[in-house]
Amino acid sequence: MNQGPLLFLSVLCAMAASWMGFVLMPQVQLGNQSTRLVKEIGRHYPAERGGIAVKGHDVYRAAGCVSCHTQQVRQSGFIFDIVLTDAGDFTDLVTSLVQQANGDLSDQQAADIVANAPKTILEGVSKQTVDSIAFLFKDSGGKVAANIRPTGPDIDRGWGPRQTVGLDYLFDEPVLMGSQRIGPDLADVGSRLADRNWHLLHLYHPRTVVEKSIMPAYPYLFETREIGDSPSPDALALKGEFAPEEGMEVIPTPEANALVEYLLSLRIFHPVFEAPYIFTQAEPSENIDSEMEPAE
Amino acid sequence: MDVTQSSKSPSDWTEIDSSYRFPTLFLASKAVAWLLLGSIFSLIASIKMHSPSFLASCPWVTYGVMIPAALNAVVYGFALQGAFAALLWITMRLGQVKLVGPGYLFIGSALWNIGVLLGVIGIMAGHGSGHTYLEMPGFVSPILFAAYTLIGGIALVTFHKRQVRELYPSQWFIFAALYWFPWILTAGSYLLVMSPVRGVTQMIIGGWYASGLNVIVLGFVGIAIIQYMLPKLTKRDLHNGYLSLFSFWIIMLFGGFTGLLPGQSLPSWVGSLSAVCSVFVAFAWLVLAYNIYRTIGGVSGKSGGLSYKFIYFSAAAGLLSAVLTAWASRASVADVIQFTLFLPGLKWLHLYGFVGMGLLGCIHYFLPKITGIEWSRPAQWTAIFWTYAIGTSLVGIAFLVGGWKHGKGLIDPETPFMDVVREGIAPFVRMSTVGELLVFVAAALLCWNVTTLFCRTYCSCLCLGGLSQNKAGTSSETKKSQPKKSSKNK
Repeated sequence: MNQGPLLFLSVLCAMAASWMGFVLMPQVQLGNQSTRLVKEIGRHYPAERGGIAVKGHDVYRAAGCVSCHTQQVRQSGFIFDIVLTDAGDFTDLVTSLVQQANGDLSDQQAADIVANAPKTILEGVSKQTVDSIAFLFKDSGGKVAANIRPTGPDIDRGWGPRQTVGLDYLFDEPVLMGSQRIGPDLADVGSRLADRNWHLLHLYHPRTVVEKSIMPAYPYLFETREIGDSPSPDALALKGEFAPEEGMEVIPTPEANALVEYLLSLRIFHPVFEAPYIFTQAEPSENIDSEMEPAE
Repeated sequence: MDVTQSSKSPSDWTEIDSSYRFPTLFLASKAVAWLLLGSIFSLIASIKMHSPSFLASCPWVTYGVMIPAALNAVVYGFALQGAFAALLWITMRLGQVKLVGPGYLFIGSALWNIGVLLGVIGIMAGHGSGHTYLEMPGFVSPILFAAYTLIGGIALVTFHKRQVRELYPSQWFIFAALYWFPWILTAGSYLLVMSPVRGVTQMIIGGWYASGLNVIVLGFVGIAIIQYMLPKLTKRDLHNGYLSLFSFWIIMLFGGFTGLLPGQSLPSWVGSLSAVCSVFVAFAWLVLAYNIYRTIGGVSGKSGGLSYKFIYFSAAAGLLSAVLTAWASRASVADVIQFTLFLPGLKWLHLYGFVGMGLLGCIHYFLPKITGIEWSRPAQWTAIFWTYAIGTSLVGIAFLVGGWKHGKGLIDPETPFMDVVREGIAPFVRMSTVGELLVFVAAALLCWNVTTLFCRTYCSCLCLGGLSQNKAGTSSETKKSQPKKSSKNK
């Protein structure tokens, strides 16, 4: 190693190796990724973000929201719900099999399930149990299906129905996945908190809606102005200590509206091949984390 | 690996040192100024964490821009600029060669500072790119690259013209860092900022850039400083050059793959590869530490003076950060510490503890040698060491311990998020604010001392009627320390 040229060659080789590993390989693997048809919704996923949400992404980047918020949901595994989809012709046999599959069911409950199929037999079981139960029902005439349910702390918190995968970020530019959770994850915030006004109040002054929040306020995204002839319909409904002075109102700037539009566009409601889950239409305003509930 | 020729007379050394006098003063004084600015930014960010209304109405200092502004000021302004100053000095000393083209170096460093300044202003004005370590707006990268071409080019030409042909381990590390940096800077900023690739590949390339910058470029300069300074200060020979060679190869081959944790929304091989490589790097660091331990074992810390303490701290922080990074990349640990304060804790340990401390030790040691003027207030330097060391440790411990608690809360879905914030983040952020305040004090003192030295050197040159006479004037001072150096002129 005591000669310059040898040293140069070795550094060059090491550099080339690291470049191939972490620049070329990912690009070869993911560079050609394109939108994919998702059967459950009959549409291509992901869709490019449109309208003022594009500008909102820019506001998100400029304000450095990524310093405190991630946009990635982790998942530790799957559990399965077993559903009897079709009881078939041999109801007595299937009823006994249902009871065999779930020992906790009484005769009456098992009969109910068979009579009212499709119905869930077992919840939250492992892949092995699914296989053994599928084997049990083989040739019985009854049909069972397994619904997939992703698990993990993030999912239990209601931060998203499934893990995020590379495909979800296809149209983000720049990709702001984040590495810090000083604040909650935002990958699915649009489903969790679908109320536009909540977001505007939260941006203007987080403590108006979340007591003890440590998020900085963004008053510069709002304009405080004198009330004209009549109060603006866009004015924020601020109360108590957060209210502006008498005769003044707080109006969101286009940036604030764009940012909120962007936040609302952050939703995970498509299962994809890499991250399957039972598809149910996302119902906004459910699963609201307790910390997100408006403070009284 | 010993370089024991003492062919140079003291006057030759003075000539070598004085060729570097003003460029290094410029680089060092700007570096510490950036450290001061960076520490002010992180202090503001830190205060905002417990008083979120503090300076809220100004978009230029909102938390989200203070964090990247502080990081970029410290990485590009302080760490890289300080690294240039240190590596040029080590190259000149080990090669026993005068600096080639000080004028170009001056232009390069001025350009570099303009680039960093524009970059930091760009981030604060909301033009940050959103990619960690590459937040500066796209137009800054060509400026930095042009500046680097001058600085790095001069370092390489100086290296090439060395009088002592045999290479000392520190030189391999410096050489590798010099080649690595322009490579990652151009590839990183082109693929992420100027002509971005699509989708999550951005994250992987961002990780590649971050690990290249931290582990290879800054890490190698840090290791070069440790391997050069510790034997020099303790007047011993490096224990075993082959162990250094081993560490060099391992870190160079695997260091570029570290830094992406398993469990993110990336292809899973990325996290696994990164985890394996982190373990290799930690192993190389253990070998390096053993080598250093065998070199300096049995030496009392006092004999090396204050610089020894700086470098010793730097080595300990470097080892700790490499081992912790490897530990954190285990899947079971990564699940906990992912997305938590643990990661900024590691960053602090590496950037401020390992790289920063090494650079400060270097600056403390070589500025008086180069200028021929001793520090006017040595006691202030002791104060700088302790405030900086305690401050960095406080922030590091607060973030690492807090990060663990933060993560434990995050992976328990029964703990409401607000409780995680209250128990896992808030108390530790308060502790880190104290640490950041101490680092700020240290940076301010440092800035004052280096600037004073700058002015005194400038004045002494003016009084003596220019550089040529100044050499003669200062040589009497410099001579005192010469015999030591020439007997062990590494």
